[in-house]
Parts: sequence; structure tokens; C-alpha cells
Amino acid sequence: MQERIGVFVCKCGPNIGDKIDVDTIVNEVKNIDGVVTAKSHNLLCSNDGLEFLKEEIIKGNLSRVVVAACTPKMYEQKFMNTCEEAGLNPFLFHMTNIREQVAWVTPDKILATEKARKLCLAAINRMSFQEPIEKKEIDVQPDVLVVGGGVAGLEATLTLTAKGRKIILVEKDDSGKTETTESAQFRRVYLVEKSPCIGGVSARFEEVYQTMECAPCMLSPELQEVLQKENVETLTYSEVEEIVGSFGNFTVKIRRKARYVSEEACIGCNACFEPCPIEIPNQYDGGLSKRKAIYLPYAGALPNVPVIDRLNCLHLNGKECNACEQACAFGAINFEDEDRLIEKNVGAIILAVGSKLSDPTQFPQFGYGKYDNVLSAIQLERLNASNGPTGGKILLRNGQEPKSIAFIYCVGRKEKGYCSGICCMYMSALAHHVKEKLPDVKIYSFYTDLCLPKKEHQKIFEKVLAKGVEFIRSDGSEYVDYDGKKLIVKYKTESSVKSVLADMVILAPPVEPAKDIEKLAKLLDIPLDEHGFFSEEHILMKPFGAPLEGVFVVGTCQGPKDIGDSVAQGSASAGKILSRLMLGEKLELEPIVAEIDEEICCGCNTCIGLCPFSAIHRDVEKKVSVIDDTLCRGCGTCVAACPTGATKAKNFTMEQISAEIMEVAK
Amino acid sequence: MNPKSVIFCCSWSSYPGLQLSESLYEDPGKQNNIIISMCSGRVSAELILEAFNNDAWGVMVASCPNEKCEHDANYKTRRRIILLQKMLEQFGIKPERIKLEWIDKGEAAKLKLAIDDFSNELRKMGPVLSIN
Repeated sequence: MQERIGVFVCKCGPNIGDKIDVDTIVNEVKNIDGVVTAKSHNLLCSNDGLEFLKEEIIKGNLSRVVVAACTPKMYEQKFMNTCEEAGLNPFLFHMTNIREQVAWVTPDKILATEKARKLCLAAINRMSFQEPIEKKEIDVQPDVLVVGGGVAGLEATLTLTAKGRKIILVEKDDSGKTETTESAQFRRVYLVEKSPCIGGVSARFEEVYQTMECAPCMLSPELQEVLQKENVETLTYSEVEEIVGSFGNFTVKIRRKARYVSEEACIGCNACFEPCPIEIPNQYDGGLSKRKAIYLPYAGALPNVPVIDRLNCLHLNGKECNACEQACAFGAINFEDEDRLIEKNVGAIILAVGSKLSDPTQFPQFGYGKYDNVLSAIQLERLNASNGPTGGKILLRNGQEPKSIAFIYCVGRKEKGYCSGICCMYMSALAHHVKEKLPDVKIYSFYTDLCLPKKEHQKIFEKVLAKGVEFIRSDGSEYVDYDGKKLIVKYKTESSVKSVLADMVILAPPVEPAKDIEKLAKLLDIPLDEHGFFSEEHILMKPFGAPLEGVFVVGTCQGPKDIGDSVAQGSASAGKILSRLMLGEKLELEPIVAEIDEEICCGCNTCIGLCPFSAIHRDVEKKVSVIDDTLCRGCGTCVAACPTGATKAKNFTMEQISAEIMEVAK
Repeated sequence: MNPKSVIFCCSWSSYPGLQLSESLYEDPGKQNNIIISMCSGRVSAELILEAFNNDAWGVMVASCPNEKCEHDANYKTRRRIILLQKMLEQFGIKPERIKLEWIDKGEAAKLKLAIDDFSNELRKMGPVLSIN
């Protein structure tokens, strides 16, 4: 069938009209075989223009449409929508740019007209090869997997499950009767947390900047809400083992580690702790206190159900002991408990596995691990916490109050190569708390650079300064020594080497990626940055999207950040998911993708390794490569690499581009 | 005679930059014609050969700079172009006639300069003599 092509040249007011002889072009293309309509318009993107275009398509019964106007980046979508309204598949339309590419850059009208003419001819030549592309929709799973129960993960969970949606389904049966059913749909969130409790690192802090609020108090309403929500399944003491699938349809395997304490039966009375004969350092207190083999990470941890540490429990290691079982009045102890693998289907994944403070033993100059009273900031944080090892008293290891404390900022910054951005603030906040508790203590704060970027930060810093904390700028080469009685902090200023004596030294080591990050990155095949944090898709424009559709990296696993920023990212990622994985709706896929003709594909697998989105897999039975529509973004890398020409880039086919080249190079 | 070239622009980086091109870029009648190619990764050897087959004097591919391509396809394109240059040299087409330029979003001025330079180089080289 002969195509009926319509060509519309926009004058863009004077922008194109004054620089290009539009009428000459229109008159010439009119005579081309297949062109049934060629017209110019003063401003095609205006409402008038779009109406005109629509009428022309319908009136001329056009099967192909060319618009020569501005850059397609601006109004291509608008014109495509107009084509669709007129009943024409939008991919039977092509737009060529005679404004930015010609009118604006070619002062000579004759040359400009010649160039624009060629571009129009190229577009018309392309028309014989245009193919309709149907928009594809797939069923999607609206449920979401959130990995990590810290502030970012919690916020995402709560935003995602805030509201259900009423779905009204209208069905017509064979006799033509319509039946309307109404149902309420809720999105489920599976919150997977590796540790026995949710709340992340923040829940262990007594008071956090900028508000100097008690973090457990601030968080507990959120924690309670998450635990009580019907459509949130909180899986503590669990790890993700396997992830397959793609955006809209992931299948996830989660290992629920044996807790040996029944979550249903346990009422959280904690009577089992006392009789347990085992005592080991509690890692949740930075090793400052002891815990039993059956334990809660810290007092008040939620869910309030202890866990038995299988490595240290006597019973689980073949010894005769059932002290906790005897102490439990509710029969909650179950030594027969086993790991369970559970499978869930989700549409999107939020990774919020957080970060940790580096082990300061990596930086031996500070004497951490060598001298008793050199502590990491998180240990002081726990000393300060009312649910911590000293009940909130700031004490030296010998139980006495310190008279002087040296805070050392920027520990390991040079070695790591980045500023963690939160240490200046939490160290200032800690100094503030210490001064409140021990007003006479002398505090020295050694820093190389101060990082106080937000609107509240400077105020807090000034408050700490006013409390008499002495800030000393050094060049980052501090060194901690011990004279048998006191710790000596040696430091260099611009002119000389000096030292101060202190009872306690507090280090602010860099924030570094949590251990799980590497494992998760491998499971999902997503990249890590040079420091080992998750890479974001675009540091400015997509700061929390992983370069894999439907996967988000939020909070400190993407890079060091404070509580507020983590919460913001958690919420934002939930917003991204809410706007695309709608309850009761299908997901529209990117129409311009590549496809492989399995008749031509020789199964060489060249494309599989090249695809940046892991969208191509091998069909083992047919021995060919297959592209997954949900993952392909249409970059065309596989198309250019295919040795047999089996791969086709929709709307950018060899024929289409060659047809353009033929005219422009003529 | 004016040099004729085909310029493949990435639909996501170098091409959107053209929106900023008003008054930045002046093309005194050189026959440079831009074709949008999705990612530069789409620019296959066949497409470049097609341009030469249609009497183009040269072909330029405007791709994202180092580390900027979402698909890392700029590296793949570079490999492909280097190979193609070596091959075409044996048919009497100078490697300089195929050029890979790394241009980011919003670098309209750089794109203009690259196109101008390329046109000037092509002017010196003249058209490709028949390779049949």
C-alpha cells in the first residue's frame, strides 16, 4: 500500500520563518512520491498548531507524519500525543530539527534553506521504514522489599504503606451486563533487618544533633508503628540470600536465622538473661559492656524479643545447660529452632543497609586498642546513653570521672580520601553532652577542617564553643602516647610541635560501608563506588536510584549522611515507587527498546556481556539471546555489536538511519 | 566545494546540548548534518560505512565523556571506531575522517568547536576518492 505522508514545516514565528525559505521547501516536498500534504504553520506547538495538525492527519487520512521544527527534545512528545489523538501510532511520526540545527546557526538564507531541505528529505525518506510500536504493559507486583531497618528503611516503609487504594473493577459478562466490584488493596512491605532489632545505629544514640533529642524517644513511635502495621512484615535477624527478576517482578529469598526464642510466645520480660552463665562483650555497646548468650542488643531494643547467640550458647554447642528454658515462664525458648528460607515477590527493592564507623585500630597512631581510655566516638555515645553500659555516666575504665578529654576529628580522613561530613557535628554534640554532665571537664577538640554546612550546624558549634571547649587546629598528624598516668596528644601547628595531657581520647573514625554492601551488590549486579558505597545512578539528578531499574540505594549505604538526609532519601525512594508501581495498575514499559530476531541470532552471546543493564540473557533451549523488555533502555549497544544483524533497535533501525544518511550526505 | 559530514549525536548528552546553541554556534554553510542515534553505542560500523557510501567526507560521533555515559557505551564505541579506522585505512580512507568526540550535556560550545574543527580538517582533506 502506498503511504500517505504529511509534511508540516513550522516557522516558529520569525525563528525559522525569517532564516529559511519555508515555502520553497514546502513546494518542493509536495511533489515527492507519497507526500499527499505539505504545509507550513506559524507556530505548530501552539494549541492552534496542534489542532491544525490533528485535523490535517484526519482529513488527509495520513499514514505517516513528518514535522520539521525545533529540537525533538522539546515538543516531540506533544506532537506524538497529537498523532495518537488523531488515531495514528505515534511512532509513524518523525521530527526533524531545522531550528537549532539550521536556522539558529546558519546566517546565509540560501544555505540554510538547502540544509533544511535536506533534513526534510531525510525525514521523508525515513518514512518508508517507520514501524508502529505498540506500548507494552506488564503486570507488576506492588509490594516492596526494604533491606535495613535503620531510619532510612523505616521512613521508606512507612511512606510506602501509609495508605491503601480502593480499586473499582468494572466487568462486562457475555450478556452485556456490567458488574462492579470494589476492593481495597494494600501494598505490603517486607522489612528485612540483619540484626535482632530495628532502629539501626541511630536508635543507640542518647541525644542527636541538631535537636539534641533523645533518639530512642524520637524513633520509638515509628518503630512501634512499623511493628504493628498489618501490611508490614518485619523480618529481623534475617538476610537476603538471592534476588532474581527485574523491575516490577523480583523474587527474593530471605533467610530467617534461627532465633531460638518464639516471637509469638515471648512477652519480653527478660527473665532469661540473668540465669545464663555465658558473658561476652556486647558489640552493640562497642564492647564496653557484657551480654549473655541470650540477649537483647540494648535495653529497649524493638522488637522486644531476645535472641540466642548460637556460637556462644552452651546448649547449642552440645553442653548441658537449659538455664534460660527453665527461667522462661512462657515456654518461649525453642532449642530446636532452625533457619528458614522464605520467598517473597516484590516489584521494587530499597537497599538501606547503612554504614559503620571504621575500626580505629587501622590508624595505629591514635593508640586505639593499645590504651584503655582511647575510645571511638560510638563508644562515648554508648557511655552517654542512659540505656548504655554505665547508665549514662561518662567514666574512665577504672570507674573514675575524666578530668580532661581530647576529641580528635578527621581520624583516617586522609587515608580514606573522603570527608564523612557528620563527625564535626556529632563530636560537637558529644562535647556538649559531656560538658552538661561534667561541667568542669577540660575538653580539647583537634580538627584539621571543620565541616558545618547546614543551617543549624554553626549555631550548635558556637554553643559548644561558648561552653569552653577548646578547638585546636592541627595538620592532621596527631599522635597519642601514654606516660603511665595520662594520655598525651601530640600535635603539630603551623609553627611547632605541641602536646596536651588528657584522661580520655575520643576518636571520630570515618564512616565506611557496612559489610553487607558487597554481598548485596553481587546479588543484584549493581556497582559500588571507589570507597565501597553503593553507586547512585546520577550523583545530582538521581542520587538514590541504583543503576538498575526498580532498585534504590538510600541512607548511608550510598555515602555518609546524617539522620535527616537519610530520612529524606528513604521517603523520596518510596515516592519514586509509589508513582510507578501503582496498586491495581499495570506498568507501562519504555517503547524504544532493542529486540532480537531469534531466526537470525547465531547465539554467539556477544551482546550479553555488552549490555549495561543486564537485560539480555541466553535462552538455553533455543540457543539464542533474548532481551528483557522491562530492563532494556534502548541504548543500542547490542545492536551495533551484533555480527549477524539479528538485533534491531526499534525506531533507530539500520534502514531508518541509512535512509536519513542517504539524503543528508547527498 | 564545501565539506560534507555526518555527525551522530547521543540522544541523551550531546544532542540535548543543542538547545543551548542559540548564537553560540555559527555554521557558515558547511554541510554538517546531525543525526540522532540514541546512545553512541548504537552507532555501528555499518552506519559509518553507510555515510561514506553516500559520499560523506567524514563522520563524527559525539559521545559522552569518560565515566559519563550511563551505559559505558562510549568505551565500546571507541573500540569499534579504532578498529574501523584501521580497516578503512587499508581502503584508502584516512583514519582522521572518523572522529570520536566526547561531549557532555550542555556543552554546546564545545560541540560547535568540534564540528568547526572537523569541517576545517575535512576541507583540507577534500572528498573521499572512489574506493571501488
